[in-house]
Amino acid sequence: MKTEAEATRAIDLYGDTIRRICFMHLKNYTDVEDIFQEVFMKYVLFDVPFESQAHEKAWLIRVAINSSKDLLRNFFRRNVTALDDSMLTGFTIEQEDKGVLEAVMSLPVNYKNVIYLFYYEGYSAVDIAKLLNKKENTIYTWLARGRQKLKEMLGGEEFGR
Amino acid sequence: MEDNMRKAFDAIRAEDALKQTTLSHLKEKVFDPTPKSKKIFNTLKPRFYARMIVATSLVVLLLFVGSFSYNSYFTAYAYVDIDINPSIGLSLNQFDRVISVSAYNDEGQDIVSAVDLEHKTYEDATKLLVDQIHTAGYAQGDDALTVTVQSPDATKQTHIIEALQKDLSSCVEQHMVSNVSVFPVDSSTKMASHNLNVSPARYMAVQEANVVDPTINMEGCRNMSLTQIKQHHTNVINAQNTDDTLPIGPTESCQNMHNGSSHHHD
Repeated sequence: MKTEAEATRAIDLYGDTIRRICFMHLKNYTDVEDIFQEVFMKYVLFDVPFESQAHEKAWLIRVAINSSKDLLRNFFRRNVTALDDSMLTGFTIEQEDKGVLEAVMSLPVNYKNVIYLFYYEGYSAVDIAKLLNKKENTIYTWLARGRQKLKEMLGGEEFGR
Repeated sequence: MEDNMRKAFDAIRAEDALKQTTLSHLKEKVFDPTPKSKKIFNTLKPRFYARMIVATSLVVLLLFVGSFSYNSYFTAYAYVDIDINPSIGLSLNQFDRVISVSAYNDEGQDIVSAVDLEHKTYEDATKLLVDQIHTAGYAQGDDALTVTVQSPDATKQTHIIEALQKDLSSCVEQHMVSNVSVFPVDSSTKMASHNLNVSPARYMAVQEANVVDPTINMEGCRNMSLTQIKQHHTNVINAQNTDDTLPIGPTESCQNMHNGSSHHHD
C-alpha cells in the first residue's frame, strides 16, 4: 500500500489527466467524483511497483478509462442519465474550445479515447495499442474514424489530418 | 488539430475541491481511519457480531433452559387424591409442588374454590384441604379420610405416603375424622378412576361394592361418602349371609343418585 504522501503526489501530478478522461466519459459531477476517487484508491492499494513515471501514468489512464466504461455499462446510467450542462460551466473555456470538447465528448468511446491520447497526451499509436490492450491497426482505424467524425462536426482541413 | 485539442483540453483541470475530497476519502478509508470508521470496519463489526452471537446463544440457551424448566415444573410426577366426600385430586411435579387441583364432585368443588393450593407442597396443600373440609362441615368425627398416592417413582411414592401418614395422623387426634388411610395405587387404577372422574379410592370402593351389589354404579355413588359406600358394601354382605335380602338405604341412594337426586353424607 502506498503512503499518503505518494497519493498526494499522484493526485497533484496526474489529477488533471484523470479529470479530463472523466470529463470525456461521464455525464455528471457525482460520477466524476466517484471515478476520480476510485482511480486513486486503486492506485494507493496497488502494491506492484511501477517501472517508470510513464508506466505509472499509463496505468492510471487505463484504470480511469476502464472504471468510466464500467460505470457507463450500467444499464440505468446508459439509458437514463442525461448530460449535465454544468459539466462545462466549472471551467474557463473559450467558445471555440467548447465546441472541440463537445465534439470529442460526442464521439464513440473508443474513438475519443484514442483521439485524446494521441492528440493531447501525445502517445503514439503503438503506445495506445499497448495501453488499451488493442492491436495497432485497430488504433489506426479508430484514429482515422475519430478524425473523420470530428471533421464532419467541426469542419476545416486541420481536423481531417 | 493537435493544437486545437491541446488548447481545449488544457482548460479541463482537476478542481481543488475534487482533489481535496479524494485525499480526505483516502485518508478516511485507508491512511488514517478515525476510531469511528476504523472501529466500524475493523473493530466494532467483529465485536458486534461476537456480541450478537453471544447474545443469540444466551437467548437460545435461556429458551432451552426455560422450556426445560417449564416442562419439568409443569409435568405431573405424582398424584395425591383425597376422598372423604369431598373428593379432590392433586397433581404434583417432581419438586413436590401442586401443579393442578381437580374436584371430582360438587363437594370437592366447594372446597377447592375456597383454598389456593397451586405451587404449595403436597403436605401444606393436604393440610389446608383437610382444614377446609372440616371447617365447611364435610368432615365429622365419624368420617374416614382416604388418601391414595400414585407415582411412577416408587421411592417418591413411598416417601409421600409416609409423610402424609405422619402429617394426617393429627386429624384423628383432633377428632376431625375417625381414621386416616393413606395407601398407594397403581397407574392403571389411577388411569381408570381418572377416566371416570372419581378418586382412585372411590373407584376401588365402588368396584368392590359392585361385586356384591350389581345395582351400584359410579354415578350413583359420586356424591356419597366413602364411609357410606363401604358401609353399604358391608351391609350387603351381611344381608346375603343372613336372609339374602338387600338392605335399603345406601343402595337406594346410589340408584337415586344415578337418577339425578342429591344425597349428602350428612
